Amino acid sequence: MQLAARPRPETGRMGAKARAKDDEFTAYLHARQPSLLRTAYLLTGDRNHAEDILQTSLAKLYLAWDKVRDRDSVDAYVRRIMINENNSMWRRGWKKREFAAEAEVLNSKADREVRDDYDEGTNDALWQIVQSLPPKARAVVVLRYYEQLSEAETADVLGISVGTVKSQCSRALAALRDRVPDDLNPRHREEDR
Amino acid sequence: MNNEQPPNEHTDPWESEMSREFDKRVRDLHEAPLTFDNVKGKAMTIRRNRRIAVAGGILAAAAVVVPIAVLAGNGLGDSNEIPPATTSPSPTRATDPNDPTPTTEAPQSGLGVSYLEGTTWHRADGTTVELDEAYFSAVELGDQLVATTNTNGRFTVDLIDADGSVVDSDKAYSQPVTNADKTTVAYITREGELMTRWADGQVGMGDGFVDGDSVAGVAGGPNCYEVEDGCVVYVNHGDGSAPEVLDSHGIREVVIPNAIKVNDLSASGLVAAQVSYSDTGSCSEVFDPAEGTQVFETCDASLFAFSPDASHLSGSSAYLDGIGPGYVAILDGTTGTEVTRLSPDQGYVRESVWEDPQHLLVTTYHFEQGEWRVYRLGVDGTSEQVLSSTSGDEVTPAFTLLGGS
Repeated sequence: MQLAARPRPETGRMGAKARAKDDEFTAYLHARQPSLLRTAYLLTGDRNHAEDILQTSLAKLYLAWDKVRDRDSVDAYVRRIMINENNSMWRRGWKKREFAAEAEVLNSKADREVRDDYDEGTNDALWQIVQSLPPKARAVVVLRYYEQLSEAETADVLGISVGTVKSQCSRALAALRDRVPDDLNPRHREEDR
Repeated sequence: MNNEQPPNEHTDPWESEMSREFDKRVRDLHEAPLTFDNVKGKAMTIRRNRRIAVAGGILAAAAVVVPIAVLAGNGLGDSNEIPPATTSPSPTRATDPNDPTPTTEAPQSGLGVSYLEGTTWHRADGTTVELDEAYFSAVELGDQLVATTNTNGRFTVDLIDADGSVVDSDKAYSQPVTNADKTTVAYITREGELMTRWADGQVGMGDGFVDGDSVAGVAGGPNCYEVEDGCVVYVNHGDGSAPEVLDSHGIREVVIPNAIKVNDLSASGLVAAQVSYSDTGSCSEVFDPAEGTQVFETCDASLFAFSPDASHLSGSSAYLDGIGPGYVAILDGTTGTEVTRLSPDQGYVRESVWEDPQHLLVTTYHFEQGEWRVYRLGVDGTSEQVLSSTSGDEVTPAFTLLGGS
C-alpha cells in the first residue's frame, strides 16, 4: 500500500476564526494578567522572573487556546504551567543568576512598598522563610494560603497527594514557629487583642 | 471535591498570617506588563523550537541517543520517592552528580561506546581518530562514522572512513539513525527522500517528506532491498501527525494510530512512543506492532530508549521543556515503573546512551562548575563518573556519545 503525500495545512491567510481567537485571548490577557502576575511573583519572589514565567505560560496557553474548552479552568491551567516553568527554571541556576542583580533592586523596592506600620518584623521573617522553601513546597503554600485552594484542590493542581500537601504546609508552618521570635507569634498577638 | 480542610478556614494562626502576608506582598501589584504581541511572539518562538526539537530530537534506534536539549522540567511529580542512585564503590571514580565539588583527574577512557570529543573520535576499542571538524552528532556504520553538522537546523551528513577522511556527503532534513547492529543508517535527504545506506549500497524507501520530518528508528537490514535483507524505517512528522512506517516491500502505513512520536525501537520490534502532549505533561506507551497490543502506558514518565535487551527503558519526567531534563531515569521495560534515576543538582541531562543491558551512560552539564560529565548509571542504582571536561558552554557539549548495542 503506497500512501499519497499527506495534505499540508493552509498557511499565510489569517481567517475570521484566527482573529476571533486572538480577540478572545486578548480579552483574557487584559482581564487576568495582573492576578496571574501576583501569583507568579509569590511563586518566584522575583519580579523579572515572575514576568518571564508568566510570558512563557501565557504563550503556551495561547498555543493551546483552542484545546482549553472549559474557560472557567483557564486560570488553573496557567497556574499549573507557571509552577512547572518555575520548577524548571529554578533548577537552571544560570537563569536565576542572570536576573539576580536587577532583581535585588526591584525587590527591595517592592518590599518597602508593601511593608506597613502593622509589621513588626513577623512579615519579613515569614517572607524570608517562604523564599527559602524549595519551589514545589512554595507552590503548595502559595496555592493554599494565597489562592485559598483547599488541600484537595491544591493536590489536584499540583498532581500530588493530599498527604503531600499537608506535610508541605506543616513543614512550612513549623519553620515559621521555629524561626519567628516568640514575641512576634500571631497567637500571642491575638491573645493581646 | 473532597475538602479535607476548606479554603479560608485556617485553624492555625500561622496559616492566617501566611495568607495576610501573601496578600500584602502583592496587593499593590496591578500591572499588566505583557502585551498581546509579547505573548504571541513568545508563542511563535516556542512553536518554532518545538519543531526544531522534533526535527533534531531523535538520533538513533540502536544508538539510542536521547533527544538533545528538547525537553525538561522536573514536573510536579518529581518527589524524592525514588532514592537517587548511589555512587559507585570505586574509590577513584565515584562522584555523586549532586555534589558540586569540582572533580579532578576524571578518567578519559573506559566507555563501552564510542564518543566524540571536539574533533576527536574516541572509538570503543580505545583508539582515536582525528576528524576535520567538530560534529553536531554522529552514529557508527560498521567501522565508518556517519556524522552530522547542523547549521541553523539544516543538516549535512558526512560519511567518514575509519581513517577520518570524508568519503561522501549529503544534505539532509534529518539526522541519521542506525539499526541495532549498526549496519544500516537512514535519514531524510533535503530532496524529501527517505534514504537508507549500508556498507556497499543505498536505496530510497519513499519520498514526499518535508523539513521537520525525522527518522525514529530502523530495523532489519543491512541491505534494504526487498530481494536482499529488507528493512523497516519509522518516520516522525514535524507537524505532529501519526508516525509512518516504510518497509522494503513499498508499504507505507501508520501502525500505531494513537502515537504522535516514536522515540525508539527495540531489537525485537517493540516501539516506545509518545501518545499525547500537553503543557502539563505527556503520556507514552510501549507498543508491540507484531501483536497490535500495548505493553504498557504511562503518564508519569517520558520514554527515551530501550536497553539492548529491552528489559529496561531510559526516560525522564512526563513534563519536558527547556534546556534539558533535570534527571534521567531507568524504567522497568515491561511496566514503566521507575527503577532508579540520576539527578544532577543545578544541572541538566544532555543525553543518555545504553552502554550495555545493565548500564546507561549519561551526559550531564553542571552550571556551578561549568563542567560536562559522563556518568555510568547501573540498573542496580549505582553510578560513577567516567568522563569530565570544562570545555564548551551549557549548550555545547564536550562529549557526544555514539551509543552501543
